[in-house]
Amino acid sequence: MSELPQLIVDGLVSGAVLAIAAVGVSLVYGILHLVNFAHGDYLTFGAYAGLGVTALGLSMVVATVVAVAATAALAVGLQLVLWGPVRRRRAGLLSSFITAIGLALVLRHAIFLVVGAGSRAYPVDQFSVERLGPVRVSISQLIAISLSIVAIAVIGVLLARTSIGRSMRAFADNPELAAVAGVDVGRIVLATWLVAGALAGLAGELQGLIQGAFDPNMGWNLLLPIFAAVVLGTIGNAYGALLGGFVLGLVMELSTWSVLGGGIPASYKYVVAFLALILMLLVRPQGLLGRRARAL
Amino acid sequence: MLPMLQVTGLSAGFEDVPVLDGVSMTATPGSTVAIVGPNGAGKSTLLKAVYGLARVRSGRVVFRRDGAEHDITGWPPHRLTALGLNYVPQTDNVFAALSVRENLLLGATARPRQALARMERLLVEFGPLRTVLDRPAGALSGGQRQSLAVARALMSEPVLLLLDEPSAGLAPSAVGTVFGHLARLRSEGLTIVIVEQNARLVLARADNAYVLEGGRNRYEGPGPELLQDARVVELYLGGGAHATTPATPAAADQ
Ligand SMILES: Nc1ncnc2c1ncn2[C@@H]1O[C@H](COP(=O)(O)OP(=O)(O)OP(=O)(O)O)[C@@H](O)[C@H]1O
Ligand SMILES: [Mg+2]
Repeated sequence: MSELPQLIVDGLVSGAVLAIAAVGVSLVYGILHLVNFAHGDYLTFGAYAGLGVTALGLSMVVATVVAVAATAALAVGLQLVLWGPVRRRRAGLLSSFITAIGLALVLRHAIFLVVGAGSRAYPVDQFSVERLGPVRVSISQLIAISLSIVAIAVIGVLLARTSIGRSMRAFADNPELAAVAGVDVGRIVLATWLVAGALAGLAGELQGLIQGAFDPNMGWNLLLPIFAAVVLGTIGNAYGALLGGFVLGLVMELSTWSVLGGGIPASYKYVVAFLALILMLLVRPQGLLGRRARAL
Repeated sequence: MLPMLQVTGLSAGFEDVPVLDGVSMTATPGSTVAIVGPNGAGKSTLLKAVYGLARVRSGRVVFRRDGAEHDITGWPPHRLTALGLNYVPQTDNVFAALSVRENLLLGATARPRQALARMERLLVEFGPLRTVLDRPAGALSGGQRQSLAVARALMSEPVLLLLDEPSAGLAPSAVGTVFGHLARLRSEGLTIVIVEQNARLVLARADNAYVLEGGRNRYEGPGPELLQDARVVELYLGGGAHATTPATPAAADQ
């Protein structure tokens, strides 16, 4: 009886985390035209940065701040030492793509070398749950959903109301004209990575929290659902990515509902994410928020 | 008087495509300078090269303001805008996905202080934009879009404005409106460099004009004089499409 509401809550929680990760990918794609295949590993980096802080005996609050700041710094640093030079050498889409895959591998193995292959968990009581009517919500889930909502609100305000957000949208719309209008392209690039990195750090920590235990493959495993959310919500559209994240989170959880022919095993959730994506591409290839391409 | 803009022997192009071959031109403070010439002559490329949007191979671009001289050759666009120049491209000259208001505010990126007050002042002159402030610029008519593009450029309070074919594709009434704006800006002392297909229209109003052809200087002189010049008339104005273009309503002149 309480299975459906429970699945919806679980879906919203994982959807919220997917959503904030997907927004970062979408901003980077929309503004920098880069498909960042390493984004999942930025999440892993954030998760371990937070873990390192808790290992020092500091609170989850400090861990969250550090995860966000460290991953933002990683993203900006990689722009300076990797993506900037790659762009200056006028690398094409394909070479950037391959570079991103290479970066993903390097990051994942670097993290693996430092922390080892075993599973870790944050010092949060996984078994402490709150009952909200028919559903049970763990402390981790409560933290994840509330921080995600805060992050989404902050990003919404940043993009819609601040001058840096307006410049970012202008740059995505027409980079040359943005420069003519007075926008410093270099600043926009760094701001984009700063935001995408911060969101990746937060998403990584929250994913580690709601999963309970995580290992260096966490982000990589999440990459495909993140990309599915980005495409589902219309590639390059930040608001679409948010929506795509929530839709995908819900679809993945609801696919395990026993009423649906017994429900599929939870381990097939990611397969369901892809079926949803393929279905979407067949029915509405421009994504949820995209305009239909004009027929030729 | 020393020129505000001085382009000397500029050779520029795109990647491996050379377009301009040693082009020179000047614009004295407060003057309106026209650049005319056939399609593909390199008129747009000249403006882009000045604005850091084409690759300069050789030559020099100098900008003077308040007694200071700046060698702006190859400067990135945002620095030029901060220095007091602005540019309205021939195509894609508004942010289609952003609202009219956001387009205007973006124009003030280089001079963010009192941007709202400046926008209010501009909306007195560009009245019709006020009714569409919250619409996406992509939804505007051609004439409104061109007005917005000019207003966006003015939001940075430039002293030198580069305009690329502001009348292209507009209905005659909208052409009148755009040229009306330009006449007013000129009377306010703005220095204007304008590329125009409609050579008769612009030469009649230009203090000075340059005819480009094949990426090189061909003729130059005061606009009305070039309009009388038999060679120029024969090459670019006689018999061709321009000859049949009626002169704009005199009202645009005032
Ligand atoms: N981005 C570009 N890359 C390569 N070549 C270009 C580019 N833009 C223009 N060209 C070439 O440069 C030459 C001059 O183009 P330009 O746009 O400056 O001419 P124009 O005088 O402005 O013509 P029009 O009157 O048609 O606007 C043309 O041969 C054009 O094909
Ligand atoms: Mg042109």
